[in-house]
Amino acid sequence: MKIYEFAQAVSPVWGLAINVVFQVIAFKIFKSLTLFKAVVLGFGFGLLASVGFELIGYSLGYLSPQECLYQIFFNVLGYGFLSYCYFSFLGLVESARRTVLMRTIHSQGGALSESEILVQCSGLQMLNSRLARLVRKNQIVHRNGKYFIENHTLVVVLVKTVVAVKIAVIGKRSELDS
Amino acid sequence: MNALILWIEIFCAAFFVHLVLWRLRRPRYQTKALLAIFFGALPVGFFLSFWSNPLNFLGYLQVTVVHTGATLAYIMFYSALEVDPPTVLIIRKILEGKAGGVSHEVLVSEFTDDVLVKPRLKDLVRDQFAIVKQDSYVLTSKGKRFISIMNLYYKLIRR
Repeated sequence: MKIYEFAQAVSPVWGLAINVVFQVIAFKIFKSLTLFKAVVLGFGFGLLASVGFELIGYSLGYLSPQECLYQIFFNVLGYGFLSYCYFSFLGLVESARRTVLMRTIHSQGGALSESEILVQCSGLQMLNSRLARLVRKNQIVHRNGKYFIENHTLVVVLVKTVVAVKIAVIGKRSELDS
Repeated sequence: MNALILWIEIFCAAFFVHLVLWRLRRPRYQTKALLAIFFGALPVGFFLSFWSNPLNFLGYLQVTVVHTGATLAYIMFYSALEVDPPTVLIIRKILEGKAGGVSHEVLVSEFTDDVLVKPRLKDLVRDQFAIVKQDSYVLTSKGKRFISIMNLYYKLIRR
């Protein structure tokens, strides 16, 4: 019972561990799987393990139905937060501008002038890669030399949310605003 | 249920302090300040709960785990508030164009190196990941350690 209670208290942590291990293994084994799909799969396995653990506790009589529901809610919440951190970490590793800049400097022996950096990672390259990705994922449409948003996809909702929170917390819409 | 309520109280109190402080004056090192506020709120909340509604050790452990997750998740989200990710800038610009759309030329003229690259280079220096030496950006040992970890994981998620 004591071991069960301890494992329950830290369930978001081992849920995340299961998530990461499954994601990495699935991505390496199934060549057709994209990184995003592997991340979703890993998240699903971790979630299943977290919920399953509470249900086992209920079936063994350690938890009442109310306690079981409460523990599922609280621990899935914690697991969701940690999984979001991991998802953001993957973005940081893969495409965050600071990481890309540091990787570029590191690959050239740890020192690079600004002009040399700008040749290898210019604003234009960053813009074009983002535009290509948004078009490929049908988040924006490229027609007659112009970019449009034809349907309000998840990314638009997320951008509007980020701007709204930014106004609430920082008091301005963008770092470019004075 | 007490653990959940205690966590909500601690997180909301920390968030309120963060909002008030940010409205008065945003700190120079925002991530460090957020870590101090949110993790500082945890022992204060525990201390206050001893008098009102104490939990057992495992209850406090559970609150610590969830609060750590929530704090780190907020800090990750906050990085998108602190600096504008290019995708956010692009989508905002296209939304401003409405039905007329936005041409590639407009986007190129707006999102230059000065907007997308140079501020992030300054951030590297501010956060001590790099120093400027004889007109070159040189990675510090902190920067080298950071990028080594990133590269290690990058190889793991690459085929």
